[in-house]
Formats: sequence, structure tokens, C-alpha cells
Amino acid sequence: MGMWQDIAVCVIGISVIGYIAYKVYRMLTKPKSGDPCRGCSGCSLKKEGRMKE
Amino acid sequence: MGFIRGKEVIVIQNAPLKDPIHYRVMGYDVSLRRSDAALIEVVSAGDFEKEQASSIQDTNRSADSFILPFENELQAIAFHKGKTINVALVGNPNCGKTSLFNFASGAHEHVGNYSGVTVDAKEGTFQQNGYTFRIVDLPGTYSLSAYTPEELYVRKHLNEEQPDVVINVIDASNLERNLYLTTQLIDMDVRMVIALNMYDELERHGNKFDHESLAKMIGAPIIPTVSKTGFGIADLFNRVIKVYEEEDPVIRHIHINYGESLEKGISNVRKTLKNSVDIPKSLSKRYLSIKLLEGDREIEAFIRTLPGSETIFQERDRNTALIEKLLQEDCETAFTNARYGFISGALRETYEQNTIKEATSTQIIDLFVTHKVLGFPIFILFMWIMFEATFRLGGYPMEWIEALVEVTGNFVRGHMSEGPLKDLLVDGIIGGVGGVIVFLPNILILYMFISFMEDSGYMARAAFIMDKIMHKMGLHGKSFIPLVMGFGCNVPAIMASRTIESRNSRMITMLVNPLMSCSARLPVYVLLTGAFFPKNASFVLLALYVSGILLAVIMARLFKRFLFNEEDVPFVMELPPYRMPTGKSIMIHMWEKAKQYLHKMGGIILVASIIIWFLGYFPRHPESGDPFDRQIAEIENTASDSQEKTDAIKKLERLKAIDHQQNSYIGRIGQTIQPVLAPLGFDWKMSVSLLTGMAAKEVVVSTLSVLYMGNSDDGNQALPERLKQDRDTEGNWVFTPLIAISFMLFVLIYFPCIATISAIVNESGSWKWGIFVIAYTCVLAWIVSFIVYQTGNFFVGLFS
Repeated sequence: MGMWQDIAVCVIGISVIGYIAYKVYRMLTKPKSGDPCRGCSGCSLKKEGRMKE
Repeated sequence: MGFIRGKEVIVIQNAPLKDPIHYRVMGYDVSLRRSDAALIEVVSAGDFEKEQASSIQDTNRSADSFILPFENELQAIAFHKGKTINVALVGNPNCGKTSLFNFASGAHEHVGNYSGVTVDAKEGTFQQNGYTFRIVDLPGTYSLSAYTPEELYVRKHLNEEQPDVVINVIDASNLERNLYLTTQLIDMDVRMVIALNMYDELERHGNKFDHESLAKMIGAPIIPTVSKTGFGIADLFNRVIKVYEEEDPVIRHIHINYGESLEKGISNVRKTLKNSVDIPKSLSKRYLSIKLLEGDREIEAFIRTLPGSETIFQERDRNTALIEKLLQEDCETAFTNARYGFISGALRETYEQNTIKEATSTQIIDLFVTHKVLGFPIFILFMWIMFEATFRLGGYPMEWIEALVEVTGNFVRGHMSEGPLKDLLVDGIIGGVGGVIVFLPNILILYMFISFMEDSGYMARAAFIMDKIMHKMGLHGKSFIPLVMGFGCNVPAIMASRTIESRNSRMITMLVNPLMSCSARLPVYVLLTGAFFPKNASFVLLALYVSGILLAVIMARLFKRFLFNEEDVPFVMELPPYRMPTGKSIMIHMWEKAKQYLHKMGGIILVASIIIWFLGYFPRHPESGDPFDRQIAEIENTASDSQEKTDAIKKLERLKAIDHQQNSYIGRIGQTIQPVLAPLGFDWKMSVSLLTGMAAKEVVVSTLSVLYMGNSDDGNQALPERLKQDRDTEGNWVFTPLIAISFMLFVLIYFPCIATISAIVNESGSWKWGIFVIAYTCVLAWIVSFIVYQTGNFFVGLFS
């Protein structure tokens, strides 16, 4: 009965590691865009920048 | 000549040397120089190709038709292009440009009642009367010289983007100063409509202004507007349409008469410039002559690129010397005086000030708020009120959210079978995210106060009051604005330091900004002050913020002395009139902040909580737990059924849980770094939470929440209670009020979050400064916490 919980926890763990690896990969390989808001969840200044784009 | 809208132009051939070009239009032939042809807008096959890229769905067309456009298609594109008007908003800081932009384009751009809020241009579009307006809101600037980044940016935009119409927004309550920029726009020979903004204030003061006469005098229509309410904005854009279609009766090109000496100089330099064929026709030679005589660095750099520039400079220098001899002042001052003379003359004929001098409400309020003795205590009082409201008012919704988190946790605990997923959900996700989300009301209230102070104009007064202190810090009063923005978030605050002209002051402002306690640290403060200082929470909060400011003062002086010791340039600090902020703008700011906070919950906080739970949960069944299991089994097997037996088993369970956590991965990490932080009074859990807090400061609380969730005998206990009751293996309190203060000071000072480091690296242009900030903040945090803890411990030991 508890087996499905173990599987679910493994899946969540692997997903989180994959997500972090992806974020680190993006941080290291994304070309320097001069975007000061890169990586931030955002504020009104970021919204202005996105509207400009 | 036939080059009228909607007509087809055929290129016949280029002359040898490729200039001029032979065209055919409306049945006859004409040749034009390239520079003249560049002034005529056409729609070509290239534009058609762009349109095609967006309309590939039409499958009934033949393949050829995607290569060669039909005539009616080109006409349609030309018609559409003709109906798109590019508009630039230009004006002084605080004249209401961004409010007008927001109203027209429906955007929610941030409007602050202090200069320096718009540090970059913003774009928006809207439709009116069948026309599409592409509006660019440029940074506020007092003039178009070449001194500040804002001025250069605006000039660059006007010269390179060449908007169809410029809307010059002027503050009707301060005509003389605002019209100075207008005179420079007249020199640039741009098509312009003037928005006479804040017209309601002009009328309220009882002043009379014949704007229609002034419009005829300067050849630019003037439309009264009130951008806060939208009054006059539709009329304004209707007038823009008329100007664009060249149907406006008022529009005409005028020259400001600078007086005989200056006009002679302009004429002489202009003649020399006329001989240069490399100057684009779109650039007014009169404007270039004026700028050269003023010694404008940017124009000089441009002229230097032209062939024959030595001749131009020689003529300029000759005329400059002559003007300075005749007028006994330098050229730039002479031009400035002439412009103000023009403005003065124009206003004398059209403007009548209300002679009954009443003290405005702004002046009355400023008597107290900027008083040299009362000003500072009033500022401290406002800050105390802000923190008191943040803590007290925020406490109520905080309890509701806490209850909701508890109900959710209990629901999962009660309805799920035992297993790791249940532990992950309850202790990890609900514990971690729930532990931070409860502080949302406090953060919103803090932001509400900051927004109110910004929008009302009080923030500018605060900068004025703090100016003397800022100078003692070695900074401008202008640095105060980015520093105060740091109370919200350090990232936009560091970006706002772009408005500071002096590089040294800019660098110092950026380096000390992390010491301004941002809103992300607030959950840590509210948690610990609520647990250990419930009766004096607002004082403790205020003391923390003041500590951050004092440390910023000390560090700024040190940086000024040892790293950036160039002399400061003087500056002008604007004091705009007080305005009652609209509830809508404050709500918008709060909503933006709430969205950002919730986004963080679903992102970094959730990920961090899951990772911390994993590290604390594994490895399972370490051998070190076996002795506890044996002892528990031994006690359970005893015959007696007393309370003593139950208590003994509970104690062993607790020790087993502590042991498990200490032997988990996170426990091992914590114990590795704990010796470094032990002199500050921190145990391994606090050390781990500080480590994880490097990602985002809220993670400090979610880490503590996850680490403490599984510890208590009562699963329903709130985190503050768990912190207060936590004991180590020897039975000593882990958290005391002194340790709480030491911990909060450490959180205040150490390692700004990754986003802040990234902003510093971007703005300073070097990784070196990012690493420097990490190093100095961590070292400073350690030293301050050490001093506070050890000194406090000494006095506690002395008096106990």
C-alpha cells in the first residue's frame, strides 16, 4: 500500500532535481542579453521590460 | 511633385555613383538625391514580406502571389502605415507623463511622486478615431543638454526614432521651468503638441492663462489636460491626428530669436554646416549650430566624424569668442538666458498669476515635515507607524491564513495513509510553503505604506530631510530614493541607482543597498519578534531597520574614504507638491507585490522546501536510532502503566527524532557549518536555514518551518511556539530573545539574495563587485552578531 507513496516521492524528487539542473543550465548557457530582470520572479519594473519586448 | 499618399513609385535607375536616383511617379519622371528620397515613406516588397509572415493561413493564393504583391495589398499596407502615428512623450520629471501614458494606453506603469522613477522608456499602443498610436514614454528631463543619461537618452530617441509627433507634457503649475524644454524642442524642429497637464491646479490657484494665444505664438497647439482623471486626453490625441495629417491651423515652424549677437553666430556656423553634405536632412542645421555654440559634447563628437570638421570647429570657435566678448558671459549661459527671456516675454502676454497669495497646503505641510528640528522625528514617527501597522494590523489576516494552513495540514494528516508522501506533503510542502505564505498580509501592508509615501510626495521630503545625513555618508540626496526603494526589494532599488550621475555615488549606493532591509526579510522578523518580543514588536522592527540604515551609513563612509574618494558634483532635489494618491494606484502596487510573492511561493520556496525535506528525511533508519528503539521497547514491556512510563517514552521519542534529524543529510550539513556560527549562538538548524536563505530570504522561514514541523509532540503547534520550546539534547533552550536578536541582525546584513547579486553585477558591469558584496556582507553580519550575542551574554551572566 505504501509502495505508491515511495514511487510518488521518487518522482517528485527526480522532478525537482531536473528542474534545478535546467535552471542552472539556463543560467550558465543563456547568452548575455543585458536583461537585468533575468531569473527574478518579477516586479513592476520587469513588467515594463516585458511590455517593451 | 506626385509623391503623395497611395501613389506607386517605380525606381527606373541609379545615376553613375548611385546618386541621384531616377523615379517615375504618376506618369512622369523625376530624379531625387538619396538624402531627399530618405524623407519619403514608402511601402516596399520588404514590408509586404513582413505582412506575409503573419498571414500564411491563406491557402487559396498561388505561389507567385507570395513573392510579388498585388497593388491593392501594397496600398492597404501603406494605408495602415499611414494610420499609425508614432508619438513620444517628453517633459520634466513629475509633470504627469507616465500618468498620461497609463491613462492613454491602459498600462499599469509605476508612477512615483519623485523624480527618477522612469529610468527607461516604456511603450504602449491604443486606438482613437481609426488611428493607432504607438506611444513611447521617455524619461523625465529638464532640458536637452548632454549632461545626464536621461537627457542623452531622450535626444537619441528623438534623433534616431524620429517620432511623427512629440507630445510635450508641461506642468501648468510651473510654466516657466517647464517651457524651457519646450524651447529646446522648438530648436530641434520637431512636430509638437503641448499637453498643459495638471490644468486643474492652475485653475484652483485662480491663475489665468491664455494658452491659445501662446500656442499661436510658438506654433504648437496647447491642450489642457488632467492626466489623473483623463480630462482632455481624447482632445489631445485628436489634435495629434490633425498635426500628423498637416491639417492643424496653429502648427508652424518658428525660430526663437536669441538676440543679434547669438543669431549672427548661429547664422555663421550654419553656413559652414550647409557645405557639409554628410549631415542628414532630418537634422536641423540651426539646431546643430546652436548646440555647437553651446559646446555640446555629443554634437561635437558627431561633427568630428564629418569630413571638413576642422573648418566647422574653427568657425564655431571664432563665433564663440566673439559672442563671449560682446556679451561678457559664456555662450551656454547666454543661450539659457535668452530662452528664459523668450519664455518670460511670452508669459507676460498670456499668463496672469493670482495676486492673492495664499499659503498652499503643500507649503503648510512642509513647514513641519521639512523643519530642521521637527523633520527627522516626524520621519521616524511615520516609520514607526508603518511598522506598527505592519505588525498589528497584519496579525489578524495572518491568523486566518495560519488557521487555513493548519486545517489543510490536518486534513492531509487525517485522510492519508502513513508513508513518505504524506510526510512530504505535511512536513515539507505545507510546512515549508505554509510557513512563509502566512506573512503575505504583513508584506502587503508594508508595501501599501511605501506606495502611499511615494505617490503622495512625502518620499521626496524624506530625501530632503536625509540630505544632510546622506552628505555625511558621502552620498547625494538623490541616493536616498534608491536606498528607500530597497525597503521593498533591493533589485529594483539597485536598478534605480542609474539616475545618479556620479559613478562613485552610484557604486556606493549599490554596495550599501543590501543593508536596506528588504520585504523578503520581514517574515523572519515577524516570526521572531512575534515569538520573543510580542509586546514590543514594532520597536524591535524599527530598531532593525534603523540598524540597517546606520550600518549603511558607516559602510558608505568607509567605501567613500577607501574605495571611491572622488569629489561629488552638486545636484538639484525636486520637491513636488503633495498629492493625494488614488486608491487605485495603491491597490495596483499591492496587487503587483502579492502576485510576485505568490509566484515565489510556487517557485523557489516550494522547491527549497521539498529539497530541505528530502535532506532532512533521508537516510532512513540510521543505526544510531537503534538504542532509542531498544530503550522504548524495554519501557513498553514493563508491567507498570503509569504517567511516568508515558513521559519516559515521549522523552525517548523526542530524543530519537532529534537524533534522526541530526544524522540526516541536512543535519550533517548543518553540523559542518555550525562551528562557524556557534559563537553567534546559532545551532545547526539555524545555520542550515541561513545557508538556504542565500537563495531567497523567505526560505530562512520555510527551512525553519520544515525542520521544526516534525519535532513537536503536538502536531498542531504553530512555528513560533515550537521555536520557543525547542531544547537541545542537554535540555537548554535553543532560542532565547538574545539569540533571536543576533539571528535577525545576521539575516539583516548577510549575503543578499542571488537576484540582488545579479543586479549588482549587471549595473556595475563587473563580477568583482558581486563577489565583494557577498564577502563584506557575510563578514559584517558575523562581526555584528558576534558582538551583540557575546556582549548580551556577558550582561545576562552578570545579572543572573
